[in-house]
Amino acid sequence: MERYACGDDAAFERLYDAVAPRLFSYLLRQTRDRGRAEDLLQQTLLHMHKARGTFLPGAEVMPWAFAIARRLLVDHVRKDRRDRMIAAAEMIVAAGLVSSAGVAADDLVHARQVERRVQEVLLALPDTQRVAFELVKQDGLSHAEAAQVLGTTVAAIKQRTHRAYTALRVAVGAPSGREDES
Amino acid sequence: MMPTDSLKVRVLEAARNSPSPTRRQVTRRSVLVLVASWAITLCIFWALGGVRPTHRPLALIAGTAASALGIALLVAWGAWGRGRSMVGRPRPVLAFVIALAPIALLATKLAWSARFPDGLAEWPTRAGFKCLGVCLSTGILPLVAAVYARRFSDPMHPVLSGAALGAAAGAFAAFLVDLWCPVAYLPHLLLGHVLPLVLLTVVGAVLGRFVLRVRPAPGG
Repeated sequence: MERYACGDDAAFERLYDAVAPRLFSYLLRQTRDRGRAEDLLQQTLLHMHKARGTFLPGAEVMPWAFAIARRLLVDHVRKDRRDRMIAAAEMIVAAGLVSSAGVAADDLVHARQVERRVQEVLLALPDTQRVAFELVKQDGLSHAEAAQVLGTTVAAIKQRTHRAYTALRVAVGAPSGREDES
Repeated sequence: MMPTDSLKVRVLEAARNSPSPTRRQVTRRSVLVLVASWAITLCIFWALGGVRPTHRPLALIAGTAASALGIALLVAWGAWGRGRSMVGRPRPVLAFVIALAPIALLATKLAWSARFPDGLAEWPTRAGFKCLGVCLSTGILPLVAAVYARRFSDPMHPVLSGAALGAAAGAFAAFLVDLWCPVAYLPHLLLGHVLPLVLLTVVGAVLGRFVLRVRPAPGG
């Protein structure tokens, strides 16, 4: 991004390769619509392209990219008055909740019940907790990066993800333990 | 999960077809806009009377003006700076900056004026409407210039960022008005010096809502 901000146009392709997969994963999970996710990804990257001259030397790219994507997504959802959907199955795997609950991989009925329950719990969570949980557990952002994206402190992010995680554990009947161990 | 290759082709082609300014070009443009806005503002200030010492002791003028300038610089640093992060300053910092400007300006003006005889005396002929006009006249252009220079750049708190820029513009205007106005009577200060700062903060918030916020790039 630094090279691109200074005028190296060829660096945009590298920037795309670096940020597009993670952004797309995030947008796809939020929209559950491949076409819409690609549309929002395109808007995000073109915004970064337009704003390259404002990029601060030494600043981190990913929190900025996620913040733009998130803003465009929120505006998109508001405009269309559509509810965002959460892909619970991916979250179960990403957070290790299935294995913690002792659910066998081939027990599809049970897995679906767990998935439905997790989805319900996620939707019932405050937005602050849910989004923090998704950014850290699913998108792989560090606590510091997620804090930048959401405009809050690292301590607040840790608290939100912990609360979300605790709620999910209770929902699927998983034993309590450290988040990082699962 | 990966985006399609065709998307990559589309994005790269769209970027090629609509060149964007580099950092150097953006910096040059921003400096130009801000300097021009301040040059015009100073001309307006001068046309309205400029620095008017009246009967005030030099120490009083220097004290209040230096305090006001220091506060304005601090607020501008908080509002304009982004703390080495592309997502800008956290919400509590912006809120602090917005609250700091009027409170600190009023408190320092009163504190300095109280140290001089009749420093806080009432001036029946000066309610504060002229100061209100001068403050708004000298604050609005730098605010518009700052918001323009930062347009479409805030993905997090555009309203708060705009309000902070408004508070900074208002603080600089209050500094100029302090050089112009000898009155430190509390009701006068509230009407003529603090109210315009608050109004500029509100205008900044509205501009931030529509101008600072990130929106889809044309063709995106």
